[in-house]
Amino acid sequence: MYANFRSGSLSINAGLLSALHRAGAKPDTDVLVSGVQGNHYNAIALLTDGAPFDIHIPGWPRMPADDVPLLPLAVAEEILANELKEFQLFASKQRVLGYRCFMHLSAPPPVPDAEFIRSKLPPLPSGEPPEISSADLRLKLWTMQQKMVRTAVEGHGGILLGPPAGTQDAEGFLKSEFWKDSVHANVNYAALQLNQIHAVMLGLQSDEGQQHG
Amino acid sequence: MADSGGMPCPYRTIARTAYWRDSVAKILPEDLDPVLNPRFTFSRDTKIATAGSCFAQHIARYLKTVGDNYMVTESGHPSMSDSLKATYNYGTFSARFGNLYTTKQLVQLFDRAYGNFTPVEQPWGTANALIDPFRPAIQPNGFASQIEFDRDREAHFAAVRTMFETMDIFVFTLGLTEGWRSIEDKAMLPVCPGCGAGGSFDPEKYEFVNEKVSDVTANLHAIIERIKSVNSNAKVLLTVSPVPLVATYSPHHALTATTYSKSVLRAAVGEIYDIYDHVDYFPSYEIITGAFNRGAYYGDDLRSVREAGVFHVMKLLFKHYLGMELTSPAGESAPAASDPQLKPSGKAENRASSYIAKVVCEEELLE
Repeated sequence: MYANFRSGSLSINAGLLSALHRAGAKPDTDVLVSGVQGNHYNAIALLTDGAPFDIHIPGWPRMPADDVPLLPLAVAEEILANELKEFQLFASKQRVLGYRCFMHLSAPPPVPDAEFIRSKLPPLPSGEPPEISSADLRLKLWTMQQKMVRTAVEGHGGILLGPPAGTQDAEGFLKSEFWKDSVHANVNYAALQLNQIHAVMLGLQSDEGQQHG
Repeated sequence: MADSGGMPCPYRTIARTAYWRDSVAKILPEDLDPVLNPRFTFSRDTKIATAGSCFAQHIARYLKTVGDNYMVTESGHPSMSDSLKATYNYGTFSARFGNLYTTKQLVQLFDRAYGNFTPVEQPWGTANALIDPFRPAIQPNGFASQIEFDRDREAHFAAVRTMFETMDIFVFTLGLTEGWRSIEDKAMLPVCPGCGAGGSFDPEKYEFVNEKVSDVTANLHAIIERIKSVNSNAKVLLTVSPVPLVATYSPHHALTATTYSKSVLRAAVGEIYDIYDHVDYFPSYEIITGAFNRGAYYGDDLRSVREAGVFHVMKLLFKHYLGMELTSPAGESAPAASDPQLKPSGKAENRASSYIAKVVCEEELLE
C-alpha cells in the first residue's frame, strides 16, 4: 500500500509508482517515501532580503565572510529548527501509522552559481534584481538542515536518503548536470533517487523472503 | 509671623512638596509623586537608550510598548522571531551589553567599545561554548567558536558606539557598588567568576571592590565627559535601582550593606546632578523604597519589585517626561496610553505575565 500519511489516499505520483512496480516493488510493502519540506534552508537564505549574514560552523573548511554580520550558530540552528517543526511532527507520525519502512528524500544540495539561480527566479515585485546569498552560507544551512532532518527521521526509525552518489562536487554543492532551477534538482537526479529507493525496497523484499523462506 | 523682630522663617515660603506631612504622609500611596521640575522631556522622536542594573530593563520594557522611543542599536537579524530575539537578549538592552551593575562597568564598556581598553580577561567556558566575561548571560549556552565570539563582540562594540553617538537621552540605572575585578588590569566584571554564570574563581586573579561615593562620582564624571566627546547633545537621566543586594561580600549584614551601597549611589548621583545641567535624576529608588508604600512594592522575598511598583515608577516617568498617562501596568497587558497616537505594539515579548516583574539578572545566580 502506498499511502498518504494524513488521508490514507495515494500520494506517490503515477510515474514514480509505475517505476516502482517495474522495479519489482510489491504494492503491499507498506512503505512511505516522503520528499516534503526540503526547502527551509532556502526560505531562510536563498535571497539576502537586504540583510545578508553568514554563520560559522566549527571545523568548516572555509572562513565566514567578513563583510556581513555573523549570526550566532545557535541562533541559526533555532531558526532552522523552528522552520522544521512541522517536519518533526510529520516524522514522528510514521511509526505510529505503522509503515514497515519510512524513507525520506533529503533536499538536493544547493546550486553554487548565483547567476544561474537568478536566471531561474521570477522577477521580484520591486523590480530589483534578486540578491542571492553566498553559496557557502547556503551550503552550511543545507548541511545543518541535513543533520536535523537525519536526526528526526532516524530518531523515528526511518531512513534518510541523502544526495545520490556522484551528484555533489568536491565542496558538496550540486553538480551542474543535475541543476533544474534555483532550488530543485532535475530528472537525472530524480532517477538516481529512484535507484536509491529501489535498493532499499529490494532490501526489504530480501528481508521478507528470509523471514518467510 | 516674624520671631523677635527678624525676617520670617524661610520655611514659611517654601512649596508644600517640601513638607513631608503634606507631600508624603497625607498622600495616598498610589498618588505619591516626588518628581519636580524635570530638566528635559522626551518628544515622540526622542531616541532613548537605556543601560544599567536589572531595574533598567523595566524602563526599556515599558518604552517598547508605547512607541518607537526606545533605541536599540543591536536588534538581531530580521529572520529572528521576536521570541528568539528575546531569548538572545536582542532588545533587552539598547545593545547587548547585559546588566551594567556598577558605574565602572559603564565607563569601561565605553572605553572597550572605542578601543581604549582591552582587558586581559579571556572568554570563559569551553571551546564550543564560550562565555563573554563582561556579559555572561547574553548568549544562552555561549558562543560556538572563537571566531563567532570575536565577530559578535566586534559587532556589539559597533552597536555600542552607534548608541552613544546617536542617542538623545541616556537613561542609566545605578545598581551596585560591590563587584569583582581583574587584579591585573582592574577590568570590572558583572559577576564574580565561578558563581554560576561561568568562569572559575581564583583569588590570585580577582579581587573584591566596594566603591565609595568618590569612586562613583568619578566614574559618573568620566562617562558624562566621554559621552559628551562623541555626542554633545545627549542628555543623561540617572536612576538608582531599588533592588537590594542578593548577597554582600563585605563583612557587613546584607541589610546594612544594601543601605551603604544604595546610599553611596544616591549620594553620588546627587553630587553629579548639582554639577551638570544636562543630567537629571528620576526618583524610582524613592518610589519603591519609600516608607509611604509600607513595603507593598516588594515581593515576598523583600527584594523583587512587584509590577505595581514598577507601574508607579513608569506612570510618573511617562507623565513627567513623555506627557503621557499610563493607565495599566505592562504586567497584565500592554500598558494603555492616553495618547491615542501612541498605541501599544502588542508584541509578545513586551507582555510581562508575571506578578513579580521578571528581568534578566545574573547576580541572582549567587543564590
